[in-house]
Order: sequence, then C-alpha cells, then structure tokens
Amino acid sequence: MKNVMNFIKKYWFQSLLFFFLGIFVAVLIVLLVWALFTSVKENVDFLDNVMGIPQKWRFDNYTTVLKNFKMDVSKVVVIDGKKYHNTVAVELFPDIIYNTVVYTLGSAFARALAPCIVAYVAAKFDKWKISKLLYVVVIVTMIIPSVGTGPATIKVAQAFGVYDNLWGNLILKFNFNGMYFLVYLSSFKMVAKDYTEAAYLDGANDWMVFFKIIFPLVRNIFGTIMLINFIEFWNDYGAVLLYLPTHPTLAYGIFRMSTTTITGLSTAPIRIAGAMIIFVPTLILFVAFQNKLLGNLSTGGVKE
Amino acid sequence: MVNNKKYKGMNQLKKEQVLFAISFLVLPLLQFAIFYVYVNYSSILMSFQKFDVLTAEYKFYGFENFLQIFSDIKSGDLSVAIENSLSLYIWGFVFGMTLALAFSYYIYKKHIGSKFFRVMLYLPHVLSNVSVVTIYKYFVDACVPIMVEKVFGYHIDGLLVDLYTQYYTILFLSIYLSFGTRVLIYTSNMSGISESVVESAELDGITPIKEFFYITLPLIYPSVVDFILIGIAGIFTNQMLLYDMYSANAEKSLQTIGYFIFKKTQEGDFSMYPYISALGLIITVILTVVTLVVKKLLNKFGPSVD
Repeated sequence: MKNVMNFIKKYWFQSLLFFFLGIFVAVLIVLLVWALFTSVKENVDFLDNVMGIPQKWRFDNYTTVLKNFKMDVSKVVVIDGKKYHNTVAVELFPDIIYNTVVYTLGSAFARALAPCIVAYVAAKFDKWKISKLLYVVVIVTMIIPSVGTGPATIKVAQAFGVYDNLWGNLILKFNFNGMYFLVYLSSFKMVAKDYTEAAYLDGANDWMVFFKIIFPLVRNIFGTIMLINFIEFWNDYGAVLLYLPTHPTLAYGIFRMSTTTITGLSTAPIRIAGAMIIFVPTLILFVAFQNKLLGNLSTGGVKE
Repeated sequence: MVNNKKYKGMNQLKKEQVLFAISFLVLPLLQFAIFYVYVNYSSILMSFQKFDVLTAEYKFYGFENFLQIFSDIKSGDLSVAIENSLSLYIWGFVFGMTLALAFSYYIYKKHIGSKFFRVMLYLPHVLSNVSVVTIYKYFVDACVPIMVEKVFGYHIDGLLVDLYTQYYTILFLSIYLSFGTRVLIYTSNMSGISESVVESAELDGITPIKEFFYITLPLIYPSVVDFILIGIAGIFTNQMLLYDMYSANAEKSLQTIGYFIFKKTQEGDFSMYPYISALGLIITVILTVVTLVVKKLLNKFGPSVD
C-alpha cells in the first residue's frame, strides 16, 4: 500500500498530463479520420450514416472538387477608355495554381530574405548607429500593435500600384520586422570573424563575403524560416481577400467553397473533400521536414 | 605620406562598406518607410476624416469618428465585441497558457510518448484553419449530438446551432489550435536549462511539480512574459476563427473586435475606413500603455532565478 501511495505521489502529475495530452491527440485523430471517411461518402450516405464507414466509397468527390474549382471575381476592364466591372471566372488550372505558387513561394522568400539582409548589416556594422537603430525599430514595432491599419494599407497600396497585383504584393511582404530579424541577428553575431577575415585578405569584397561565406553558413536558418512562412502563406486566405481580391489562391478557393451554395458543391462530403485537398502539400512538407520545423529556431539560432 | 595613403585606403574601405550597407538596406528601409511608417501616418490621418461620397475624397471631420465609437460602445453595438475579445484572451490565458506550459514540461522531461505528442501538438498549426474549421463545424453539429445521445441518453442540438454552446464551441477550437508554436518555443527554452541544476534538485528529493514551479518556470519566465505580451497585443486583432467559420455573417453576439475590423475592411466600404482607422488608433494607444505596464509588472513581480 505504501509503495502504491509512493508511486501515485511520484507519478500523478505526469499521469494527469498524459491524460490531457491523450485527449488532445484523440480529438485530432478522430476529426481527421472522420473527415477522411466523410470526404468519400455520398451526401445521402452522410445524412443517414453520419459517423459510420462509407457504404459506397466515392473517391470521385475529390475529382468533383478539382473539376469545379473555379471562382468568379469582379475585374475592372478598360474598353475605349472607360472602366467596366466584369465578372470573370478564374479556373484552377492554370490561374489559381499560378496565383498560389507565386503568392506562397514569393511571399515566403521575401519574408525570409528581408530580415536576413538587414540583420546582417546590423550584425556586421554593430558599432555604427544604424545597427542600434534597426534593433530598436524591430523591438518597438513588436511591442506596439498596429491595429486597424488595413484600410490605410489598401489606400497606400493602391496609390503605389501594388494593390491587387500578384508581384506587387511581394513588396508588401518584404518587411524586416518581427522575430526572424532577432533570430538572424544572433546567428550572424555567432559567426566567427576568422571566416571572413581570410576572405578579405584574399581581396574579396563585402558582397562576395556575404554570398559565398556568410549566407551558406545560415542557409539552414533561411530554409527553415522560408518553410515556416511557406506553410503560413499556403494556408492564408485573409491577406488574399484584402489585398489580392482578383487573384484567388487555393486557400481562398477552399474558403469560398466552404460557404458556397452552388448545387452539388455545397454538400458536406464535397466541402470536406475540398478541405482535405489543401491539407496534402503541407502534410507532406511537415512529414518531410518535421525536424527542421520542430527544431530549435530561437534567438540562439538553430541547433542541429 | 604613408599616413595619408593609409588614411585614403581607410576612407575607400569605409566608402565601400557604406555602399554595401546601402545596397542591402535601401529596399527594406523604403518598404518600412512606406508600408509601416506612412501607412500608420495615413491611418492616423484617416481617423480624423470622413469619406465624401459626392467628391469621392476624404475630408477633415475632427473627432466625430471617435465620438461615434464611444457612442457605439455605450449603446452596446461594440461593447459585446469588446467583451468577447477580452473573454477570449482570459480563457486563452487561463487554459491555453497553463496547458501549453504543462504540455511543454511533459515533453521536456521526455516522458512516455513525448516525441509523438510534440509532433501532434504542432500538426494543427500546419493545417489550414479553414479546413480544420470546415471539418470541425460539421463534426460538432452532426456527430456530437449523436455521441451524447448514445452515451448519456438525452438529445441535444448541434453545438453551433445551440446559441448557448456556440460561443464555447468556437472558443474551444480557438484555444485547441493555439498550442503549436507556444509548445515549440517553451520546450526549446526548457531544453536550455542546465542539467546540473535539475540533478542537484532531484538529489534533494524535489517533486516534479515543485521542480516545474521553482526551477523550470523561473528559468523560462522571459519567454512566458513574451507570450503574455504577444497575447495582450493580439486581444483586439484575434478573430476567434469567426471569419473562417461564418465569413461575413457571424452573429453580433459572437463577434470580436478583430473580426469586426477585418469584416469592415474586407467589405470595401470606403465610408467605414475612417471609423475603422479611429477604432484601431484607440486600441493601439490603449494596448501600448497596457503592454508596457504589464511588462514592467511581470518583470518586477515575476519569479526570480535566484
């Protein structure tokens, strides 16, 4: 009895946490398995047999989603100098796929590159005033929230011609603020000066030193940050809704499909099949790169 | 002569360094100047303006937008959204932060299944919110009533249909999806704790729960403070997944300020932009003060490493 009491006294906390973690995992697994079964059901089967295994396996629900995956957007067309609003159907291939690739890859690259090059200047010229100023700017912008600036951003983006512009949107994403600046800054500060001094003695200039010596040393961090941002932008539809209304991406399309009333596409199995489709690339990336995603990306740099 | 040459050489080197710094900084700083500084300036300016439908221009309107906002809060139009935003933060703080710390501690101590749990806690963060919400919506409305009837024997409506359970059903999902990054950061910081400190405490017979409160928490306290402050900064931008769930049609009783602002911005109604900008300005000022005060208090009264 005493041994049992000692066991409980020693392990009750871990056991309680294991229980709660178990609930968390169970909820996730149940939701995903149920979604998988539901996505291949007929609608009648879903209504009669909500929780059961499909009576008929309708894998063509996925092809139905892909075949009907198009969106109507209102575009401004100029004819004889006059502007007209025209409703245009944007198809999955090639438009939505093109929009998705440019938006996710481009935005992820911009979001990874901007803090990298700014942090390098701040680390390299740490005795200059600009270095301290950059650090203060990043900290201040992290502390002070910018609320309700969406309308002003739209207005300024329209004035500079980057509103509703797929490539112009990359300029909106090319900002150096946020925690990635701090991650890069501490990584660059940890790079031993021996690496670069030898290169300078051999006649290399600053650009050569950065691209041939420094950047290869932090490419893992760059890759991880780009990967994290790729997943974020792949799933993002809010910014597309606000700043790229006539350039829908896959995520935006899935969002529209989740609320559509079009016959044949508004049933639960079809909507859930659509929801599952967008999971696939990020799941593959997660499985392939989980060590990088779950790695120690802290202000102390990545530990491998 | 030699000194002159050396001086000219250093001048040249400094010029090259300045050129290099400019080449790397010009685009990011220009972007910052336009899309952060100028946007915030425009937003502040817009909050004192009104959109003239006849001339399609913004004109000076004084403090009318601010007065309208205070009037809307008094009349109840905005107060429900403010309450929901605060409630979301408090629930998130009480349950979300507590569980995130506890889960992180479990993973850090490498207990049974810790690697598996670490992956599973982060997985929802990788999946699209829209997709998770779509699946969750159908599950809680279609499956949960059946499960409750089978297990407990009484009938309930779908959790999102029943007005009483709607808010807590969405709140649950919102907190559920919030663990990923927090657990990742906390476990990374916990793994940096010196093993000798832990070992000597274990030799003194410390229990796991005492170790958590007296060793682990004080040593990772700076990142806990960071997340508390990030949470405060996000009180009035958090949409609580409402747009994912209802698009622009969420009921007023459910709305948060974050959802309200996003919805009004997305609608493209130019006449509402000054109102949104004014609301954003009020919130920014309040949150900046609150963030700084809370930061000071947390640093002053938080657990000490000593």
